[in-house]
Order: sequence, then C-alpha cells, then structure tokens
Amino acid sequence: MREIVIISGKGGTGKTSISASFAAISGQSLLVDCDVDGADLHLVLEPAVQESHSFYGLPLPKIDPETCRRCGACQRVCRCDAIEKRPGGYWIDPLACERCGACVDLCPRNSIHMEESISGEWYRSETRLGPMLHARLEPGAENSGKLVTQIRQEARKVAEARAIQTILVDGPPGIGCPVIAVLSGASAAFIVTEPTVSGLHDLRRITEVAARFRVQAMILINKADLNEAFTKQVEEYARQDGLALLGRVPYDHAFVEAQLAGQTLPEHTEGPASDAIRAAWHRLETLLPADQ
Amino acid sequence: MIIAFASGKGGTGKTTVSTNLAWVLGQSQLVQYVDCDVEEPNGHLFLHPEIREANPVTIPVPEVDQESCTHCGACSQACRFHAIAVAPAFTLTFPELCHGCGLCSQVCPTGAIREVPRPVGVVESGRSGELSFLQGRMNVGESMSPPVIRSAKKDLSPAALAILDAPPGTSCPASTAITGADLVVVVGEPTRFGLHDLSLAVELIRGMGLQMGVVINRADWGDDQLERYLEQESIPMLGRLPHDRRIAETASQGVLAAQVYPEIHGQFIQLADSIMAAVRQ
Amino acid sequence: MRVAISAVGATPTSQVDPRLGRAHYLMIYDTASDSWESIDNQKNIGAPGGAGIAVAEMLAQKHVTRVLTGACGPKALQALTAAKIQVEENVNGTVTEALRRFLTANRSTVDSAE
Repeated sequence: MREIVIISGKGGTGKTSISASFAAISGQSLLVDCDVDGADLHLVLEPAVQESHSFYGLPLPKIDPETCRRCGACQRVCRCDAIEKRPGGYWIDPLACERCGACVDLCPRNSIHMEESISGEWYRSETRLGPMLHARLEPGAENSGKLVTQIRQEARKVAEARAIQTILVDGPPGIGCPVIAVLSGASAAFIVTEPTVSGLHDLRRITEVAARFRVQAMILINKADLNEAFTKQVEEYARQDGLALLGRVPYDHAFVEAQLAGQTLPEHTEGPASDAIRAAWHRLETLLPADQ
Repeated sequence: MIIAFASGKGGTGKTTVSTNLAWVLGQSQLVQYVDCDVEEPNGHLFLHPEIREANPVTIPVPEVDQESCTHCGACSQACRFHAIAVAPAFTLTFPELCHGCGLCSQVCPTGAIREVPRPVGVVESGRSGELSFLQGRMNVGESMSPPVIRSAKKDLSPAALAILDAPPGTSCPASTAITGADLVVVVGEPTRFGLHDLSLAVELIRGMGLQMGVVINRADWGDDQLERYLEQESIPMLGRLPHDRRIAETASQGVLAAQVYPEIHGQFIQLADSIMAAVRQ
Repeated sequence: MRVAISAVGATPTSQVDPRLGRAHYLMIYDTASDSWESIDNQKNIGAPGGAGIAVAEMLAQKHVTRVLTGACGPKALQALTAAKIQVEENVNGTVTEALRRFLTANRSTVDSAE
C-alpha cells in the first residue's frame, strides 16, 4: 500500500485541485482530506457520509466558579496568557490555552479540572471517486495533528479492509504540527509548488521538513508558465537537491471553472493542464508502483 | 491600532494585498508591517527590508540534574505532552515535544529540574523605505507556531498603524495572530473553495468578537456566490480587486504592483481609504 | 526476564501489532513464572505525540527488559534505550509465535537471567 501525501508549504498552490485530479485519474484510491483546518476536497467530491464521529481534542481545563477563591495563582502560572480575570471570576480562553494542565495541578484549592472537549468531527464517506476520510475542526481549535493522525489511521483500516492500494492525502499548508503529523510514515511527499518568489521560499522550507522526517519528496510546478525565470529556478533547485520533478502544469482558468462545476479538472475538460497532471501521475506510478 | 489580514484559505492573495496596502498607507502615516505567518513568512519577499535586529524566540524546556533526581516520576505524570520520561535509573527529556509550561519543574520534589531556553524561531525587525518592518519566523522542524507569533507581537510599535499578516487557516496559529486586532480584513476569492474557507474564517472572527471586512481578490474569476454570502451575513465588503495578470506576475517576482503600475496604485489607494474608514467606525 | 510484545488483542493468540506506541495492547510474558499480563494501551492510540515514550515508561516501570514489535519510533527507542530495554523490530505473526521464536533464539540469555 502506498500513501502519497500532497503538500505545498505555501498555501494556494493548487494542492487540493491536484489531489482531486489524481483521485480521478488513478481510478482506485482512497482519499483523505487532512487539511482539517480548511477542508475543501468535499466541495468537489460531494461525499455521502457513512459514519460521523466527534473528535476529542486535548482536554480543556475548566475553573469551577463555586470553589474558586480568585487567588489568581492560575493566571500567574499560565504561560500562554490564556487566563483572564473577569467580573464573575477567572476565565480560561480556549483559543489561547495550550492544555498543559499547569493551572489544574497548581491551583491551591483544586478548583480547576480537565474536561473532555469536542473540537471537531471526522467522517468516513463514499464519493464517485472512491471512499474518503475527512474532518472538520472547530474554528480556533488547536491543530496539533491529533485529528490528522486519527483520520490517517482510519483511512489505513478502510484501505486494508477493501484491498485499496493507494491512499491520496490532501495535506495541510505550512510546516507545523499538522504537516509533521501528515508526513509521519508516508510513502512519499508530493509537493505542489508555484514559480513565484514566495513559492520557492516556502518550497525550500517544506522540502527540508520532508527530509528531516525521512519522507521521499517529489515536486510538481503548478502555474508553471506564470514566470519562466522562476520555473527554471525551481527546476534548478530540484536538480541540486536530487528531488524528482514530475511535471509542469500551466496556469489555467479551467481550474476555477472545474471547481465551480463541482468537478475535478480531468473530469471537466481535456487540455494542456489536464494532460500535464496525467503525465505527472504516470511518472509518479513509475517511481512508486502500487504493488510495493 | 492593528489591522490584521486573514484568509481562511491559503493563496487568496493575503500577503500580496497586505504588502501593497502597507506600502500605500506608509506614504501618508506611520505604518509597521508585521508578518505573523511564522511558518512561511513571505512579506519580506515583497518589502525587501533592511533587518537591523534579530532576537531568538525560545521555549523554556526542562533540564534534569540526574544526581538530584530520585526518579519519583512526578514530572512525567504531570506532563501532558510526554516530553519527560522517567525510567528506573534515568530521566529523559524530549524538548521538541515540550510546550514550555514549566509544570515539571514546579512539581519536582527535589528541585532537580531547571529550565533552559530552547530556540524555536526568531523575531526580526528593521525598515523598508517608509515602513517599519517586523517578522516572526519559526525554525524548520519545529511544530508550534503560537510562541513565535506571540513573541513577534510583543514588538508591535504603539505609535504606528500595524498591518499584520496572519497565517492562513482558522486554527490556533491564525487566532493567535489576529487576537486583539481592531479590524480583521479577510482576503477571499469567489471560487467554491474560496467561499467555503471564507465562511470558516468568518466563524472564527465572529467567535472572537472582532470587527471584520472582506476584500475580494481575483473578483472576476469565479461567480457571485461570495458577494451574495457577504450580503446575507451583513459583512462589509471593503473592496474588489479584479484578476490582473500584472499583479500575479509582479507578485511572482517579489515586486509591489502598486509601485510599478499607476492604475494598480490607484486601486490600492481606494482600498486603503475603504479600510481606514471601516476601522475608524 | 519479562518480555513485552505489542498486540492487536488482549490474548497471547492475537496478532502482533505492527506499532509499539499506538499498539492496542501490550502483552507481557514473565519467563520465571510462565505467566502473561495484558495491558490495555487504547488511551495512547489517539495521542498526537509521545505515545511511544509513554509505553516505554510503563514497560520500564513493569521491569520489562525486552520488547518485540513491528516498528518503534525514534523517541520511543531513545526512551527504551535509556531504560535499558532491548527492542526487536520487524516482528510479526501471533504473540505466542513471536515469543516462541524469541525464546528459541535467546535460550542462553533467558536461562542465565533466571
């Protein structure tokens, strides 16, 4: 079984559009939307939810107003500035709290306790392109990677049960917790980049993360004709770092049109962009065959 | 005064818009550009600042004096992140898992734990022409951006108008960046993904009780659903920027389109006026 | 000598769990008393990080000196090494089969440890 994680470093390079396109081209794959903070894959795949589950993030401390003596020890101990003094007593801001539990353990009156906290939901669904695991995090929730890890685990179970050899993961942007969680144990990192100064800057950072976590990285240059000079720079960077360059996809309004039509690009139209994505997929298959 | 630029979805043009806007505003008032997208800070690629100061951001992590340690395990039991493990003869720490809360050193009965600073990022400051420049950058391989974001925000200049570039998304890095803003400008795009992610950003910002407005970028590449959503939700539309290949090309090179094209300069002046009017309300 | 084996179920006939930190159960075999203990590890399955460290600590507290599993992460390995616990990876089959192979290969060490 191979698990291909599609990431980008910089947001907006076309990661989700490419993931969806790959699902359409591959024919037999399981999709996982691990961009739990801004999940978009479902907008194109229209999943029929089969199961939904609450996701429990790290438990959140709660101050019991009845036993609290307003000594302020919790506020002094908190290093996230998450505890505020309010007219009714002290209050813990769930958006700032990192759930370390220092306030719980150091409250002299034992007035603070950890409470289970539902911070999202995850779903197992069916789509026209195969089964899909996806999730939704509550706005402001801590995106520690726990939810990403959970849906990847569930995805592996489903893939094993249904003898599906390919898992395609639409990954999160950035280089933090959720990206590290999504890369752990993946077969390959498929990096979608763009030929811009931001794209190249972020590409360097994300390939370093992939290398650090020992995941084989491959690159696709999206919007490749936007800036030929930068496309060459990306190609040069790939060459120098020994990273496989799987293709160049032209900047095409068809991406937007396909999205508005609720389709993946290959389903919506033929053309240079579609062809380039197909070619990239076939190159990926050569580098990472399904039966290994 | 802080105006934060958020986006829900990555790639809507948040940094392109915020840097061009900062430059335009900087011509008539004291402006500080603050890059809080610490995982992938890109503002500097457009503003080309001269960096004058760089200070490491550190997290206090435990260091155990093995001789004073009695291996009682209190620290390990207290730690919610498994950053400290007690074996019968040795206590091991995992600094990269540590959130720096200090609990282990507090609960240790023999005072065997002291805290030492571990660098996780850097805050850099300087100038870019008329603009004051500040950016937080998280070290590659680190996983937690909020400490770097909080550190950067400590250096906000009280005298200047802060144009703050937040990370994309709606989870803790974004909320840490926008908290305390006088206005959050959400840069959206009128595509399906754009509308969906904008609605998530709206939920976050409303939940935080912050004032917001929307700038629609690439406004003619999509449909009218986004604008209808803004009307339905009574969210102020602060401006529209049409898809302009010149903006994409200059952005791709790290050049401010407003500096090069008078027409685009004009568009950003209009946008600036609209945003300043919104924040004064 | 006490040997721990990561397991999918709570009995010696279960399959070896390929992961250590996020194994469903840990089966601990004591060679001196020829007895099994099963530890439920479900609470670590959803942990974002440090699951392997938590398991390593637990095993050290239970005086385990050998671990058999599919794969063990680098932090868990560090913790196990610090606790002087030896790890054998790429182990599969049922828990009993894995134990039998281990005991056969390590007969002399086991005998001298008694």
